[in-house]
Amino acid sequence: MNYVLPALLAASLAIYLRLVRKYDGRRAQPFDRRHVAAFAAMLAVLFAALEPPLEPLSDGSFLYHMAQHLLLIYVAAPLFLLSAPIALLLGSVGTPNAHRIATLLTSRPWRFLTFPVFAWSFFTVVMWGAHFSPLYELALTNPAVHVFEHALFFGSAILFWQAIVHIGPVAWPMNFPLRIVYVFAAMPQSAFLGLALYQSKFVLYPHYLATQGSFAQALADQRAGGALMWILGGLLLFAVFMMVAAAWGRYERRLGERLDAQLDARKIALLAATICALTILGPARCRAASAPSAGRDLFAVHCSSCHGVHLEGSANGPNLRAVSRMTVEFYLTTGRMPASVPGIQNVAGTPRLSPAAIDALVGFVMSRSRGSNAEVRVDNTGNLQRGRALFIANCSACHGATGKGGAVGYGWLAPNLEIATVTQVAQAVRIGPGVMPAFDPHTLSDAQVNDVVRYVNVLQTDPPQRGGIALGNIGPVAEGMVAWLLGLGLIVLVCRLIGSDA
Amino acid sequence: MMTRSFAIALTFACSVLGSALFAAAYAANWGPHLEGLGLFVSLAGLAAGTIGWALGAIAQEQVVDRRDDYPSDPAARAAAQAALERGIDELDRHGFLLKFLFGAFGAFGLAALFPLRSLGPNFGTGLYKTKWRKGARLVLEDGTPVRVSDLAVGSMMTVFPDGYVGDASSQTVLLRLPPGTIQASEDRRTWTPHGYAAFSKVCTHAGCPVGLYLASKHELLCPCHQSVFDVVAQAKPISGPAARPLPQLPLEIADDGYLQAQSDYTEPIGPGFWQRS
Amino acid sequence: MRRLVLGLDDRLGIAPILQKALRKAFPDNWSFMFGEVALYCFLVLVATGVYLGFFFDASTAPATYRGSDVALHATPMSAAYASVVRLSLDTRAGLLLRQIHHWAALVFIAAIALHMSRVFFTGAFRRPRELNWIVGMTLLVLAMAAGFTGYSLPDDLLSGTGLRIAYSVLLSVPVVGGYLAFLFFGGIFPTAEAIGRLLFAHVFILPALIAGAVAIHLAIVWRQKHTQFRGPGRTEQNVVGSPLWPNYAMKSIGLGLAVAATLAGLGAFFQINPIWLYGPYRAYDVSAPAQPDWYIGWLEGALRLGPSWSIDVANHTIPAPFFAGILLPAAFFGLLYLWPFLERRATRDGEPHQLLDRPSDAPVRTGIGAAVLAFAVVLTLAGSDDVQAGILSIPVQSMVTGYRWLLVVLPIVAGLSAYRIACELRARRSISQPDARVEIVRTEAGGFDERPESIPGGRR
Repeated sequence: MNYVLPALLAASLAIYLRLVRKYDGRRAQPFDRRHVAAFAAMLAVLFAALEPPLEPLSDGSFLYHMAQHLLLIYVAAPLFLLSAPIALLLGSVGTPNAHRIATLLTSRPWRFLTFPVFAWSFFTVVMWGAHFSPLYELALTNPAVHVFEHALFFGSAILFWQAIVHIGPVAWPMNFPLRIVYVFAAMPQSAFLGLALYQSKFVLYPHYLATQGSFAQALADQRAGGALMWILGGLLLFAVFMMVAAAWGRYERRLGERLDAQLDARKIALLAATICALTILGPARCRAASAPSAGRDLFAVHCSSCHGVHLEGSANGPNLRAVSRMTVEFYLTTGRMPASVPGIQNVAGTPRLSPAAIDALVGFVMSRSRGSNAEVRVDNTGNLQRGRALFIANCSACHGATGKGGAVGYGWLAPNLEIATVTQVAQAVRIGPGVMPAFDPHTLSDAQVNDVVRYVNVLQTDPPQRGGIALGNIGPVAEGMVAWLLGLGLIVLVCRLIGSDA
Repeated sequence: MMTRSFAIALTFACSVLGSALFAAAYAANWGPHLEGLGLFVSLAGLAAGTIGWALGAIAQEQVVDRRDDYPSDPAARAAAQAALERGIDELDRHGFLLKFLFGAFGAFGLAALFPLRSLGPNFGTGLYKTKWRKGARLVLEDGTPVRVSDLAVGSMMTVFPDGYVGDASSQTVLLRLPPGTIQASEDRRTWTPHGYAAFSKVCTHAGCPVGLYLASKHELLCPCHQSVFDVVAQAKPISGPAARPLPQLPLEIADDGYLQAQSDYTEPIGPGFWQRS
Repeated sequence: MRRLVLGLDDRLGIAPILQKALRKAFPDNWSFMFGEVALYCFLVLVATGVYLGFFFDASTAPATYRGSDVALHATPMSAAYASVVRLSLDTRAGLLLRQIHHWAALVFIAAIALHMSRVFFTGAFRRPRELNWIVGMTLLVLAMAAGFTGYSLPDDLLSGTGLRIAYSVLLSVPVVGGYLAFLFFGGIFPTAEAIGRLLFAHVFILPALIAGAVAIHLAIVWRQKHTQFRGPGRTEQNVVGSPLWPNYAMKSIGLGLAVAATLAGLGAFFQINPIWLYGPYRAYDVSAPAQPDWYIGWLEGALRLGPSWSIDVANHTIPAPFFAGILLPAAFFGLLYLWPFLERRATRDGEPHQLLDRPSDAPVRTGIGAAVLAFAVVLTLAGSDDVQAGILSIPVQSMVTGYRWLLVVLPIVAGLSAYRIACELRARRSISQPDARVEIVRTEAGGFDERPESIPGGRR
């Protein structure tokens, strides 16, 4: 009986328990005992795998060696992670050491190692590489290499599993679908490896020729090992797959319960508010307020983190209690909101919400806001010449005479008007988004806005590129570049053709 | 087999086609692109043919010229110098006459410069004043006067004195700021009624219209060289090459609710010049 | 042909001149053609310009436009602007020829800049060609002036803004600034006379001066014969090249046609200066971004980067545009004009040079040239810093700060780098040419050995 390994295992248990005691001493809540159980289970598995009776058997038989490996990779490694070593460490050491550990956990090497794609790939490479390279054979003949091989398997498995076991600080948290994919993708990989070993017509590791006695027995042993990997490995992975799916289900159910609780709470509050409101505001507004609305859910999901659950605003987003309908419609239909990053300027893009969702959201916000409900009405009847004059007088200074926009200082951009619809242009004129000044009906009448919008439409649609490729319509800058690069460039090429090098 | 001369002939033929395209596109009014394509093919064909001919179908030879044209040999130089000096000596016999000659030419030259003065008016006081006067109403480009309620907070318009719409020196940018934001100095407290502020639109750097208004930051930006003026601090330049604030127009509200100026600008508008201060 | 030659000789006695001229040697190096490229661009400009001149109306009187661009119908505009819009949009071949003309202007000055760089870096301005350098620099200035006056003619919003800036720069000259501005423009900006005066300058005065300067430039080159690079059979006393007739004439005509073709291609497919979009000039309107044509870009950059110095001295003002718009260009062009004389003084080399340097033969000149070029390039790029700010999403104010640093740092870095590289190249060249040979003799014993006296630097 080897005494080194039991001693090591006992020592690691002792350290672990000591850390647990320190953790309990420092923290308000004691360390979850299930983690301790996992650690104990891992030690038991390690003992079973690496001690007799499995150890001497594995010396002579590929099958039992494979069993060892499977226990290490698919049982011991996940158990190790389930024992929450990092969380334990961070919670039990003092603050300075915890800081050092935290620095390590945010360092680039760590983040590289724990990156799921890398971890998965590394695990796969180690599996295949170990079996189809001299390493395996060498491990069989050299004890030191054998220890290294086991450590390599155990380590790469830990890396593999850490991507989906999310206990404690995680560098690359993956959502449940991704985790499912991650595990699911490992199944064919291990199956193929097992299959390759099973179907091989050669004895891959000469060592077993000696221990098994004959070629036929060694081959049969190898096939058995391959089959074990294929089937048992697949089963174990499948079990993990089911566990992740079950965890996902639990998570979704808990999330649903929480949301329902929130909504229930609000329902009660709203009921009270509705009764009051009905007596003050009148039916129309309250109908919108009391009806269960998709808008409310959408707001909760997409907007409340920056604008506050009650539209009160926060450090990341302004108060919406006085926002006008035009503003909400403008920001949502141009895709500026919901903003993924609260930055200095939200640029237009594909709207993240569907038109139906936008309608619902607008309805919800306006039911809470005391801002104006006015809408813009634009059509194709604006006067083109008046629109042009108004555009040059009020808009071209920032947006350019060609409507292509440009920088207006401090990193703000007057956007290119090409991608805006006429309604959005009219809304922007009225509300003045960002640093843009607002032009209200006293300044520019509805007819005048209609004229401007007509002209912008012409700028967008009637190709003013009567002269050819417009080079972005930003003027002499692009023209100068084309003159040098294309014009002079071509001509210099001709010079090189005609002239000599001497 | 494409011999060289055949290839060159082909390019010339293409060129003819290009010219034909140009002529046809012109006659049938197919537009500048097809006309241009024809012209391009025509010229490019000619160019390719000529270059191909020059490089491939003419006997290539090199000639050597000697550079012995200059400087000339010493005898010739001496002779030239001597000829020049002989003439000068001859003229120098009545040396004082030469001085009179040059003096007369000089006087003529100076006198001839005088008509240049007709090119422009007297410098005068034109740059010191605009068309703004006491009581001049602010009007928009289409002539409509501006009432107190016409501009929303955060809006801007370009205005002129009534009767002088379009006058370049008088162009003024009218802004409405949230009440209480304007930091007016002692003598300008009455210049900004109801949050209205008016500044000369002519940039004090190089004269471009300061047309960009960053409403939420209360700053005016000039697009030519990116000078930024802080509106709440009397249009002081806070960035860019402008050195002086935009002159401010003193505003008041007439009894009938229209905005009008209290007087002309109190300093010359626009870019600086030698006699400015 | 014979009759032509005989007829000319009967009347003018030119036979010997003709014979010499037709066999004159023209070196074939490709970089010698840049000057010709500029010349052919000028010819295209004149040809298209003559045509355009028939359609342009230089009056600033109000006019109405009722052509194909409906949006402009009710816009008050000057007759000058209306005539150019009509030419562009409602006249056959009008837009094509106008675009070719404008592209030719851009390429013209680019070719001059390229040619000037070639002359500088090969030392072709040295004695006896200093005079031609001066003529050439004058041509550059005249060409830039012709371009500026030309694109200001249509009286559109973009070029009018540039005219306003030019007026302010003129105004900023101490003592006489106001008078200069009033005399040039005819009063307070904007004036009714401006377009007419620009037209006269652009179609008569400047082309005449350019043509005259080009004639002098070419005459000097003809008389002095072209320079050439070092090579086998080339000395300071000869010039080797293709004969003018037919070889070089064909090549040159081919190049001219290629230039014309390129300009025609640009004018056919690439829109340039779409003034119907900018609209007529209004002193109180502006469009962003606002840039001049590229060759004025360095002045624009200087004005943007220029610090906000406005010096008030004894009741008088020297405003900021003076330093960036007058002093800087004066110093810049002054340095360029005087360069041949400065270099002669510095190198103490007053010898005539007919053979050209390779840039690496004169590291100091190359380094200084690279630094000056870098300076001009940074200024030109800075002229469009707001466009770059928009593309890169960097605040314009940061671009200005960055370019100010770059203006100081890049010329130093470029100059030093060019200098070092030139030194390296020169050193490498001298190493790779072994200038001594070793003689090998057969010894009596039968082996081979080197003759001791022939080993450079002594035995082994």
